[in-house]
Amino acid sequence: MRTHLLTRAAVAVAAGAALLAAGVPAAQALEPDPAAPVVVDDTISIYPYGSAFVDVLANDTDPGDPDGSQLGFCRMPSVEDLLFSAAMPEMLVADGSDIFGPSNQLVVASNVARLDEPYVFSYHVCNYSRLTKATLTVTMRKTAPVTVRKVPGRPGILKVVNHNDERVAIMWGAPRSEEPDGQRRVGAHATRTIRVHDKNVRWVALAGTTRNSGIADQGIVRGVKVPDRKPGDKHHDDLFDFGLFTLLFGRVWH
Amino acid sequence: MRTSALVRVATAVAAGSAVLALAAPAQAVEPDPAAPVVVNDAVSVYPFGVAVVDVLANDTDPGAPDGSALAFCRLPSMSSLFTDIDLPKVTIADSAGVYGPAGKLVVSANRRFRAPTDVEYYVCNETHMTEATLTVSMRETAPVTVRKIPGRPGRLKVVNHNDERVIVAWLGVREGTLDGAVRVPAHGTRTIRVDHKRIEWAAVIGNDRRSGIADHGAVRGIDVDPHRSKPSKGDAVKHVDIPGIVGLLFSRLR
Repeated sequence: MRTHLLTRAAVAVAAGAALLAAGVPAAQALEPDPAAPVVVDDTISIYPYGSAFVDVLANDTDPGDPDGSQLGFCRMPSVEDLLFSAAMPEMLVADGSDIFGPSNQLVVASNVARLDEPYVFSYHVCNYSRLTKATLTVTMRKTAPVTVRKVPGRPGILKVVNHNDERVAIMWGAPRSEEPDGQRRVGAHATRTIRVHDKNVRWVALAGTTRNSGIADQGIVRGVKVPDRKPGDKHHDDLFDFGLFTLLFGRVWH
Repeated sequence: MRTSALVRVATAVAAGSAVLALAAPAQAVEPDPAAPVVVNDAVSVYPFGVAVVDVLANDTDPGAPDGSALAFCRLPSMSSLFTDIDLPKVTIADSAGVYGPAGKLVVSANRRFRAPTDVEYYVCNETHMTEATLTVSMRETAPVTVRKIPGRPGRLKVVNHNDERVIVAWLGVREGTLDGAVRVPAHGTRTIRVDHKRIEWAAVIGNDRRSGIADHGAVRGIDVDPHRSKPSKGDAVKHVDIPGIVGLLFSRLR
């Protein structure tokens, strides 16, 4: 009888201990903190070599503040660190206010033409007392080719065909020039001709909007027959639609 | 008797309420056990100077004994420094491994001030943040004088009245490039040779953790030495010895 009692007591203590252990939440599975920002993770699809502004805070909420004006970014990698390093990283995500002034948006800039897998950027959204983990997933759009070809019998003229579902802006010039020689808009699935003045012509086709733009295609045409240059030959369509990208354009042209 | 009793009771009740009121301050909130525990810091800076301060060293993180998860949150954005007309007296930034070893605050005194000034920021772990204050006071410096020497063309006498050595750097006003620099010991005198009719000079004081400008000025109407052949030696500082900070500090005076 005694043994039974002891055993039962031991079992009861053990069971009690187990119950206690089960009752304590696992380290990870904590009740969400009512004071912490409520975050919805974001995704953005950018163009090859593209840049974009992303308003990641727009879908996040702050329990203490209905208009979300207290929300900001915390624990972000330092921009100074990236800007001072020797080589531009493949993908750069930064607080837009560090570069462009108060904006509370993230800026994404890419140095590659292709992403084999989505790039996940981790940061924290914070108010003035709590932080919540958040991610921005960056994917890359596929673009269609833009072809640029010589036209037999027409010296100095190149035919540009845009195979994309959206308009592009093509810029061209001599391969090592400081600035492009001309620029022209080409509509979706449209054809334009451009006049060039160099035997070898480097070109870049930009696509997108002020908030999200990049390179649809690029290339070099060699062995162009060029006539003598006439005054007033320059093509110069306005590229104001490409905002951020033209700001960073120097990085791409050179 | 009764009135007295009533009055006494009323007084007692009033006194009791007063005591209760004192004991329950409106603002007092229990400190969150998960939030970083912050000890406020103080630092002194030289005029127009910079100091690197390890403010996190005395802070603790309940969740991580080594404090490795502690970081700065909600520091003022650097871009606001470029848009505001009046720079605040003191600005702070994350050293970010660029302006100093990572995890430290870089404190910058943008002008002279008398009374100590408080700067607010937040110390955060991955979930909580706590407000912190850094009290910045200004170190006194003594004058440095730079004067022409009658009868000695192109030569100036530099006298350092500080208790520490300074480096006096000067530039020809037209060229705008650093012309030379000389170390002047505490309460010491040096003679320098200059090649310009007008120079601007600044006396840099301090070390690699904390430096600033003890004094600055200009000298006009210098008789340039017509027999000048080689630059003088002595303890003129070679360009390679001049701390990079000198050029930076010079530009802050403009």
